[in-house]
Amino acid sequence: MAVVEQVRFSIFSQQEIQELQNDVIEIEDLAERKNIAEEKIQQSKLARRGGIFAPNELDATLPAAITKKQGNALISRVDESKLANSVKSTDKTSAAPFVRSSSFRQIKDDVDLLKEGQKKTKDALSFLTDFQGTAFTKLLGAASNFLPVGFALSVATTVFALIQAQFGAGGIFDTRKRELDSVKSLIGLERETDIIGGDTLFLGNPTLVQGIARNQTSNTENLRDGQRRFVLRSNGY
Amino acid sequence: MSSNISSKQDVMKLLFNVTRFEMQYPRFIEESARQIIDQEILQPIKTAMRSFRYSEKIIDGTFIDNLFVNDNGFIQFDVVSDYKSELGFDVAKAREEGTKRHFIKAVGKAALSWVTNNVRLFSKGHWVKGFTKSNIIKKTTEIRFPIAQERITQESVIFFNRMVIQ
Repeated sequence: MAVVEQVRFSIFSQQEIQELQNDVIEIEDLAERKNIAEEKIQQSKLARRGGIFAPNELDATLPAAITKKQGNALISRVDESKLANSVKSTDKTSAAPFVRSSSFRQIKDDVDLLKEGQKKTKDALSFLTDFQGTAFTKLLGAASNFLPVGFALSVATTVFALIQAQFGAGGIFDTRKRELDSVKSLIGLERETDIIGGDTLFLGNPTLVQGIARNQTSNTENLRDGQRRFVLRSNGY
Repeated sequence: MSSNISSKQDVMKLLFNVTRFEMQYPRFIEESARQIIDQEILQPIKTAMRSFRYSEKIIDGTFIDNLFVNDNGFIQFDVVSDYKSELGFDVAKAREEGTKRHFIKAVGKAALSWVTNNVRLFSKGHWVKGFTKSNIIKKTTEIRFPIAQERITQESVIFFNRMVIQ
């Protein structure tokens, strides 16, 4: 029996996070109530306006008593009920339970759906990743009961095998062949470094020489030396 | 937190952030705690073992196991030290918890033999002193626990600030 020391650290609990979410819901309620109240105040102000400060010409022509009544009528009953409901939601003694359509709950529902979806995907993946084992065989067996699916699968399997064979020796996707071709075109790392570094002069015209100019007796000699030099350079000297 | 909220969009964003935090926190804290536990608990235990001249086999056989995050607000793990001799004697436990004076019996012919005046002498067994208990795992865990807890709390708060407060 080995030595086992059990240790526990405290972290955020689910309950704490839940409490935080409840706080945010409360803030959401407050923000909604604030918006409704602001809208109501704005509409009341509009309703009270008349005379030369009226928002349009039609209001300006109407007497103040009529515009006030019109303003009261402009306040939406929907907003009124929203405000009433938001107040009611905090009223614990209310007989009729108010079901609040919280945006947070919508998000939570979406998250739950997402979690469920993830779980299903995970299960499906764990099933499919074992495709060389019994699971995939069973899947193939089940699929072959439906003829079109079975046929499509068998075609796909054959094509896959054909393509796979092309990656082998002599196939069109044989990477070793490509590597050999590329190796042929290389002049060697050391040689290439010398050319790039300027230690070896590599010119298109072999008659041009590197270093101090010499006493040239004939142009053919120069050409001969140039050719020799070219051959030597080509061989990496 | 509430001082930054001025519109419904802010509240919606906050809700989204809290939900995101709820989803990502368990995975984050598991990864983070694994590193902290290794740095603050496991490595000090191994250092203490070396200073007490523990066998490297015991040190290598000391590890963290069964780490899991619980929804009730804790992360739990086991510090395990497991090394047995070929005959099945629990050496790790003997060093940690100590042993009483006990009798060692000869098993093989070559065992428990020694040479005196060019004569090899054999023993059928003999009494040996017990190990003094070191309690390295227990003591080090107790000493390092507050430091590791502080770091885990700090990491949690930083993660919360990054995900929710921003």
